[in-house]
Amino acid sequence: MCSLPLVFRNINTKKLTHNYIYRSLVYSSIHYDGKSDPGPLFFNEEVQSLLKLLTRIDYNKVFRKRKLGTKLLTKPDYQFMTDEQLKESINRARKKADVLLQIPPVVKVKEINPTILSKDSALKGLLTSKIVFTDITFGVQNADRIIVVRETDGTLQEADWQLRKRINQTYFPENGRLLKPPTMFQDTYLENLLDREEHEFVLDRACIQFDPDEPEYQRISSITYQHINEKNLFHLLRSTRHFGSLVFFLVWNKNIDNLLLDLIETSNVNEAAQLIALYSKIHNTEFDGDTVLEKVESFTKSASNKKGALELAIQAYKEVAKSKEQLEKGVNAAHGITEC
Amino acid sequence: MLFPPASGVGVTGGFIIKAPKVIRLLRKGCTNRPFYHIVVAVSGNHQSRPVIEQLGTYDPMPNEQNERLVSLNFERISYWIGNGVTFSTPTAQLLGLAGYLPIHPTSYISAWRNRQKLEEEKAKELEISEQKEANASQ
Amino acid sequence: MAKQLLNVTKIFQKLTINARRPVISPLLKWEDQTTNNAAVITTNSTRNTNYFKKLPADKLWKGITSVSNAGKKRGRGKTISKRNIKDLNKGQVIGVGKANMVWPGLSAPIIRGKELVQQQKLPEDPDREQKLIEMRNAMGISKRLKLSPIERGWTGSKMPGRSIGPPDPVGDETFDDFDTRVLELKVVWNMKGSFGRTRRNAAIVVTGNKNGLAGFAMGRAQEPGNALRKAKNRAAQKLVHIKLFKNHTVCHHFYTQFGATKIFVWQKPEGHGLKCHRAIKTICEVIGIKDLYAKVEGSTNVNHVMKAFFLGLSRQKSPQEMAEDQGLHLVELCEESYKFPNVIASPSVCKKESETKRDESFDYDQYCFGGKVVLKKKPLPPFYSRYDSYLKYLAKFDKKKNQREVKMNMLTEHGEIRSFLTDKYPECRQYYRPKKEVEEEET
Repeated sequence: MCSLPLVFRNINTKKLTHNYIYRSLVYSSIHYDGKSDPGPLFFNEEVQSLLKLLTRIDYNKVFRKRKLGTKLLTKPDYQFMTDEQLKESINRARKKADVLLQIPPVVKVKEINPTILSKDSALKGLLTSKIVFTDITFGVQNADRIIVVRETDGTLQEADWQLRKRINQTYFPENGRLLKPPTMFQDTYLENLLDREEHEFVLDRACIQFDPDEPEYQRISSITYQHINEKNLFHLLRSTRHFGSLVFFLVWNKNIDNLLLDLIETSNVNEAAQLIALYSKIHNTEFDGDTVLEKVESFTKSASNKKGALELAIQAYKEVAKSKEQLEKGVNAAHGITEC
Repeated sequence: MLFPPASGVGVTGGFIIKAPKVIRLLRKGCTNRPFYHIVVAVSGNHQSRPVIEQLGTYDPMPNEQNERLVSLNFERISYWIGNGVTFSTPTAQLLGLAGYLPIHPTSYISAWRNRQKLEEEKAKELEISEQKEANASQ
Repeated sequence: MAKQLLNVTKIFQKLTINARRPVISPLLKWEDQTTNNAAVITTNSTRNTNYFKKLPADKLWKGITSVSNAGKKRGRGKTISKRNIKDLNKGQVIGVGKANMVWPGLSAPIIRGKELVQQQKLPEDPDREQKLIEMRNAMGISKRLKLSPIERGWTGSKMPGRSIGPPDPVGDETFDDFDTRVLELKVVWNMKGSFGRTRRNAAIVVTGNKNGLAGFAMGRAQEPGNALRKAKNRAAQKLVHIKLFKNHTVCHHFYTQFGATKIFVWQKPEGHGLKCHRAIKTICEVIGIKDLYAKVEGSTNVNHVMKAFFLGLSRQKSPQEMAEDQGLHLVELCEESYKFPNVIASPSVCKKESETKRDESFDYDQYCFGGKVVLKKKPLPPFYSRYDSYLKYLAKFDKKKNQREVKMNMLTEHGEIRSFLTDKYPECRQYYRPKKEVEEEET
């Protein structure tokens, strides 16, 4: 799984379970369906904190004005506040930001084989279509709900996950989720959206429409991440909840060169170090070196796919840092401050 | 209020305490499109009378995936069974198929009859085809 | 005998003669009695004086088209209306008739250029009769002045609400960006000892540059046009600057009062529009306010509404002033930005929680409206809600309440109104009436 090259020109359509035609987009869908489960690693506290640091939270972007889908803009609420009240409300907003920036879980694709409850061949011939029985007892969670199917041959079995999802949506609809996935996730439309840099919208909508362990969700998110990685559009997802899962996806698939390059070029070396720490945590490898730059250099030597570009970027960064240092020294000298 | 509430009026006091009650299907929907509510009502009441409580729904028309959907509030059904409610045959059949009650004999009977019918038809078809073959060989 | 003869000749003059028969002197008749001539002479008595001859034309015309005051009191002349009065002399010109003749000296000049105009017959105008009839039918029906929807005032071609252009330039100062709107144009009467009752027109106008500069004034004159001009030019000399919020609405909600007119004004977000009294709407358009809601309580006298509104506008405070006034931060919480506190203004010294009074209100609206509360009436149910037919409609509609949504879903999914059942029941498709083909006539 991990060694899969990112770009497939010839895509095996038989592998895919959906009826869409996969022609226009050049990205293959990459699922978390290998032997190892990304779930425990993703939910690791250290990994979570690293992902949040890499998200680089900007409250102006998190709380930017959005369209709510209402006909008119809502009336702004004005309030008079004392210093304490203002501080409190800012704290409240920060806490809300944590909720807004909760990273969608990265988990393995689900495979549930429905268990057969009973077989009664004497019922054969009774039904011409199967019957789905749903328990609608008040207060039961969607995941715990009893949903069973009586097949036409008389077997009674649990419903598979697609049917469960459909039935849950029928009887207990979730806001914004449709019974059939919208056409925007079909390839030509998806490509159009990605070209218009609507990545956040695509991912938000996918989060509503699908569960994180559905293959369709992982297909859409992986394609979006690959598009971002290839076009260097990391700024689109910064300060959104999807940046964490994007970084995790790239690290899991050993494809962090573009992101690393982006970080070094914008002289965010600390973040580069955090990224490499994340890499070594997930893949259980160590990169020797004491300073940040040395670690990055050792990573480029041993694990990078874009050695040349990365080395050049590091060199450029070093030169800039040096000239800055000299400038500071000069300024200090001019001000009469000498190092002691 | 236009109609009595579909979910039932919840009246369990008065004469209803002692009246025999039954869990049965109540036809809703419209012309050419049946849809049933599974309700508990005073047995013998006309179907236009308000029911005591709605316990589920039954959509007899198969959907796009060739499924018929039944929803049941098992918690409330258990409660009414505890209060000595009886079942109409269709509801008993449905609950039997759901695995909640033992399979209703009517289900077995109609399954057997359907199978007999199919076999007869098959035998007839065989006969006809054999006759045709015989005619052709002559 | 001679007298008798004279009478006879007079009678002879009045005789109407049957054209078929030859004219014969009555004198001959006497002789003819003996000769048995078959000539017949009939007599007809006429009067030389009659109603039409006694009075001149204009008096006759007046008699038909009007009633004296005394007559009106007695209920005469009820059928007389301008619609019924038709001057049939119109269109009847001497020398112009059915035959399209050119009569030099009558219907045409004698000499045109250097040539002498000849009497001649031109081809007949077939529509002449039709035109005359049309002209007569249109007579007496005065059509209202029709304005384009942009030029219209509050009610059609009446002046209030209409634009009368920018004020006249004063010296080198021009008012190019300005627009003036009429708010009121009415007749006012004045009683004087020497003159008696005098009638004048009074106009109230408001002028502004749609960017926060506006003024209003009243002008009086004998003629409405002069009154409007006076008011317009006076308004241009009384301009005041008005603070706007983000160039589209008022700075904050406010309450304002002038006389018995009370106005509550709400600040509104972009796209809301002007929802208020028509006079306030017109003023807002001139000032450049685009979004606002206002409620007028009490008198709706336009003059007072205008004055109250201008008072309120000029008393607006900036956020900094408000914060300073209250000694508190002014914070904006927007639904669109998940209620993130956006500090708009802070005071130089902020009050502490312990310093605030027990009954002090932190409510922004209450502060803006100066403690006044808007009268909120309970909305009445619509008049039809008690009709039997409405209950029937509800009962019927209940079954197709989701129809539109289902239709839309089908259209998005299949591009037509169909479902998975359509293959099974193809006869149940929606029927579209085929378009009528235009039959081509065979020649």
